[in-house]
Amino acid sequence: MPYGYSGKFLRVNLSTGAVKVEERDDTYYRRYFGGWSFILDTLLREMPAGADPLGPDNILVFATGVVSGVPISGSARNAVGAKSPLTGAVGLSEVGGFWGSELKRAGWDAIIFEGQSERPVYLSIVDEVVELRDAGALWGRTTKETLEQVRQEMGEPRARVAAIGPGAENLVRYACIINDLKDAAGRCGLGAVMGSKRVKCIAVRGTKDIPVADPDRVRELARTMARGVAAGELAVNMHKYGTGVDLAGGEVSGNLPIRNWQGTRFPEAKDISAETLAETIRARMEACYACSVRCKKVVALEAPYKVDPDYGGPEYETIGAVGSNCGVSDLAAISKANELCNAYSIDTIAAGSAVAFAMEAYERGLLTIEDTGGLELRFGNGDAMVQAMELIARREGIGGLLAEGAALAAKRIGRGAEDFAVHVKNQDLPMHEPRYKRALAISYAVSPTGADHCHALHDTGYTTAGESIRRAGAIGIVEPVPLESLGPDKVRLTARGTMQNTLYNILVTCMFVPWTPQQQVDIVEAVTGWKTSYFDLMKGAERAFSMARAFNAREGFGAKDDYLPLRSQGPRAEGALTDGGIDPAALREALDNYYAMMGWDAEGCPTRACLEELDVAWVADVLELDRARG
Amino acid sequence: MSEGTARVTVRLGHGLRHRTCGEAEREMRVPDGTRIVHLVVAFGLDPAEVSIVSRQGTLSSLEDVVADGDLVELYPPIGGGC
Repeated sequence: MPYGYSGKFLRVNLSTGAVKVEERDDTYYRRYFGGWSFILDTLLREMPAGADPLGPDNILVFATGVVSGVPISGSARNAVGAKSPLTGAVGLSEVGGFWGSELKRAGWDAIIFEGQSERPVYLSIVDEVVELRDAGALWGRTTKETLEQVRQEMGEPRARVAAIGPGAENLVRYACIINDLKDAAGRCGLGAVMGSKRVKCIAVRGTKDIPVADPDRVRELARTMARGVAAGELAVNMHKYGTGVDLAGGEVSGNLPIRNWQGTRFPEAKDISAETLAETIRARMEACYACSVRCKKVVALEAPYKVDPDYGGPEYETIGAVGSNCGVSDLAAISKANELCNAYSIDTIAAGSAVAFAMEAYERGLLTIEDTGGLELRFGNGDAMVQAMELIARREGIGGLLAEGAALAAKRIGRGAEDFAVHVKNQDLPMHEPRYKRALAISYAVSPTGADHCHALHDTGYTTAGESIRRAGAIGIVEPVPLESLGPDKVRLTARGTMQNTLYNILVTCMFVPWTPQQQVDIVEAVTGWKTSYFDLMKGAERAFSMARAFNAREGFGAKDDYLPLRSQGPRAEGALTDGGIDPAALREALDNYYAMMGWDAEGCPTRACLEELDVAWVADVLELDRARG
Repeated sequence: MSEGTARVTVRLGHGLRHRTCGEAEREMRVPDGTRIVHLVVAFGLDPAEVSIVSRQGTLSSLEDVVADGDLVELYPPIGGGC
């Protein structure tokens, strides 16, 4: 009997309605660990190159990992993947809450959706009992209405629900999937894939214990983290405030995006910071499954906007995207936008970025008051930003254009608008300035999912011989690297740091829980009973990352698609980072160096030798077969 | 640090306060020519853990010299999602 996983995947054919159980052997788990790797193995083996992301050939995978659902901090998450309708590349997103652990406790490690249903459906899972049910009455409903009705229909008030709202049904290109109203598999438009397949939600109730190899060791590790957090020694600010603390520091350093990344000053940053939120509109803090860090803020408000606490509260990325990047300094408007995005299932980063882009276009005269249907889309207009969220989700008026994302909207507007659409592979930049954190210039460009802040490396901690450098000894980084460097030292740090972050996405664990590398190894060993090492885990991460790049190569992506947007290259308008920018030639050299260090060819595609070294030679076969077919 | 002529306020971002047992702000009288790194050490902080320095609301550095009436704000590195 395996420990930590059941060995069972669910496969749901939405075209036929057939649900079947598939088994994976121990070698599969030992090689892949979970999350991204499960998803990429499925997509590369089963999805034809060139598939329409919103058509029946796309495959949508929900995956856990070998330690998911074990009662230990950081184990709550699940990953979701498919071909992205936003980027056309691989779409991968990870999400917290309770859904992933509930799926494991129901006895399932992953769910594969293939085909396309003719009518709305939802998947009901109560341990071994799995049913595809009619969701006609749920279509058009918010995520909250869906959650409440499905729990009632199932007679399972404790069912966990991964749902889409009207934004995803309307195929907003960056629609997301919401776990229990609060937690988003936010990026890459995977909610639109779910909407295109007409799957309204997956409701799960799991009642089983997950067997682990060494229960005493698992309990000891769980207690170590819980005690460290309780004593104020670990995850101190994450526990107290969650994300988004000290925004004034982000503003003065230039990291915080202001008014569509123009980089003007924004002294109001302190007014939307997490510590201000805690003192004003925060109702409480909550936790994901079994987590002692407890970093999820919840907002409750009656006026000037009514904000339902069931939808949680804004994280840093949301505060930046619908706040400072739209010039909005009103926490109530930011929280309302967060609520609407969760109710309609649209990504707060992309939605905020689309609105910020539209505000700049409006102020430049490229969009008129007629185009916006009377909406004064000026920077700082929080009410207009909130109204825009409604329009986007319903694809009404200007919302129809903005639902395509800033990149495609800019192409349609033309007249120079593309110069201030800030994206990589159509994926809007997350709320961290690559001119400040130069590792992000590299990370955003090479990320297989487009600009991303989770698997990217944030290099500000590595410039002095402080705590980050001491911890980086585990990956062989032993001396500080200057912040402005794009040289081999920065490329090496970025590549290795990105693999450390990718490790979270194959174990499907949370990067906000400060487990050390050795503790990560200890957790995997205690749960599975395997003998492993940090080298082995890092190789697993590298395997997943290179498989993602291989997926993109099949879809025609190459070196030309690894870039930094124009706005991110020049100097900022005011304050920090005004005395230069990023030299495109230096960045190109860094990217070429990154490819070489990773064992990829000049187009950034993993070589056969690289894939063989990573024990996935079959991926090289897939690539060669595609090339032979032309 | 000896008493001097400049009165300076040093304020810590929330991300550094756990390193000073919660102390958030301190007013100091310092000699002319005092650099911000001296204030950091006087506050009991390791300069390696200070990533962002603001002086009078403008980006500054540990090597900058303070002046009478300055407000110096210090922040740790900004990570992903923070």
